[in-house]
Amino acid sequence: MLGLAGGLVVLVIWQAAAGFGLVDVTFSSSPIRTVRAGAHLFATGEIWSPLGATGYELLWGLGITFLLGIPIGLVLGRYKVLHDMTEPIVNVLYSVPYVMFLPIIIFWFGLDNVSRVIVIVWAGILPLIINITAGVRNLDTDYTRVATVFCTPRLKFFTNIALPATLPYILAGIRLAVGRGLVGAIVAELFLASNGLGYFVQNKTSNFDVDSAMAGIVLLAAVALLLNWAVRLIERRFTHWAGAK
Amino acid sequence: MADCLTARDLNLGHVGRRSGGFTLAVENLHLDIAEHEFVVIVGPSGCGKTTFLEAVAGLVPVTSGTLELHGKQIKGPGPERSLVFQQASLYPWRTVLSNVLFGLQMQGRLTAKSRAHARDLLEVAGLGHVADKYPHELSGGMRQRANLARALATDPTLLLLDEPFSALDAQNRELLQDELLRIWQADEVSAKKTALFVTHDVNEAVLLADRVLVFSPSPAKVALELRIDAPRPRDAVWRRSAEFLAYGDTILEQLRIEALRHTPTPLARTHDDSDAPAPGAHGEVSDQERDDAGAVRLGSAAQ
Repeated sequence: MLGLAGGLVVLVIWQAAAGFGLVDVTFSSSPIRTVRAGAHLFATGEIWSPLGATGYELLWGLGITFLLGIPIGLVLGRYKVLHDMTEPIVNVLYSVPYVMFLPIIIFWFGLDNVSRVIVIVWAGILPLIINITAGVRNLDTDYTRVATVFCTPRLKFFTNIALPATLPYILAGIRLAVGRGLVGAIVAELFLASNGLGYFVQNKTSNFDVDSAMAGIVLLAAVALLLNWAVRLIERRFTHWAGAK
Repeated sequence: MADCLTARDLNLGHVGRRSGGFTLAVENLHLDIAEHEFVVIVGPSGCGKTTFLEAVAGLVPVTSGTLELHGKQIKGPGPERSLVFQQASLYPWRTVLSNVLFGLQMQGRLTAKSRAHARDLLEVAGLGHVADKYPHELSGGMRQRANLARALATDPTLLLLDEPFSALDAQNRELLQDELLRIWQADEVSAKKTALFVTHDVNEAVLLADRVLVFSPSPAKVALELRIDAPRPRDAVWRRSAEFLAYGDTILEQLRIEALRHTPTPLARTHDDSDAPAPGAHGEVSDQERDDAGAVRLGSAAQ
């Protein structure tokens, strides 16, 4: 509730500043103009194409991130040799801003969707792997002892014990991955796209249509909130047992 | 009767985590456990009895010697053995029923019949009404029942129990001991199982066992073998009888002798000083004292 009130205060100050002529609406827009521009974008259907493009990239990017990141994290956490071998590489890749690699990615994969999906995966997968690896390494020894006594095969160990036991870590990693993946998607669009929300905002700003640019940003924020909310919903549904051992 | 478990010249040990040195926990152990027998191993904390049990379960590798189950050397865990853990160690994301089905599921033996058997076990263990609850919604005693039911669900020929009631309060412990006897005797779905139970509680040993093995302090050997000749089912009357107390006294006496034998300077024993005569011995002696005190307290409470 307080967070909502805080947001409202900012909006009111913004609107007032624009209304009293303290700032030039050509450069700063105003909440009302932003909403009007947003409604217009939906009415004309202009927004669907960039929104769809970004959504499409995110779907592929995050999908690949989860499909690769979760098993890689589980395996790296379980086998010490693999973990020790890959830890420095993972840490270096995580520490170096991935934006540095953008020109090379473009050079290798061109300017189309493939490059953008790769950027999203690159941005999102490392925090996911690091989180899951830490989770598996902290696995309760009681869990593994029970698994051993009841002759759990290796694959079943991953699906029946490692996966559910580290689910809280996995979901925390997914939240990080979603956040970073979204940034990755926008950055990739700013650099190398002719479509998508990032490109849309950049394009509108260059054309002095700040109202539409602001509407695009608000829409992006809504997408981020929606994704976050979805992950939290999954967290609440599947990890109710965590912390109440 | 045929032997279920045989140990000959058995040595077990582990590598110290900090020192890196090898410590012998069980030395030259000889013992036989017959089919359908209920054997209880009593010994002071840290005497190697749990290490022995874990070796039988396949969790600890055999250093040297023979450890055979039905004539076959134990090389790892197997579906014909189940362990009831000291801590309930249930998976918190699984319901009680699903925890009990865990072993069957891992061993690929989950059929309609084995599922029904598990359901029956839950009923026998008094958990029928909480089958769909999660472990954190259960009391400590109920969790241990689920722990026991999980071990029985795979229908093992040898049931291993590692101080399963030591973390419970005195009332719950007595209740669960009676329950265990009842379940062990009444499990109609499968025949009476061979049971190997490890404890430091002398009364628990006398109550449950066909035969009690008293282990000496580390490295463990069998210091005394005591057959408990009492008819089953055993009940509260047996728990309060003079015979019961006499058995307990015999075991306590042996534990005392062992403790004294393993203390380099017996007269200095009343002093809990830090200048222990030998490294390692100090900790074991104080464990011994704690155990004896606990057991004596329980013994007098029963009178």
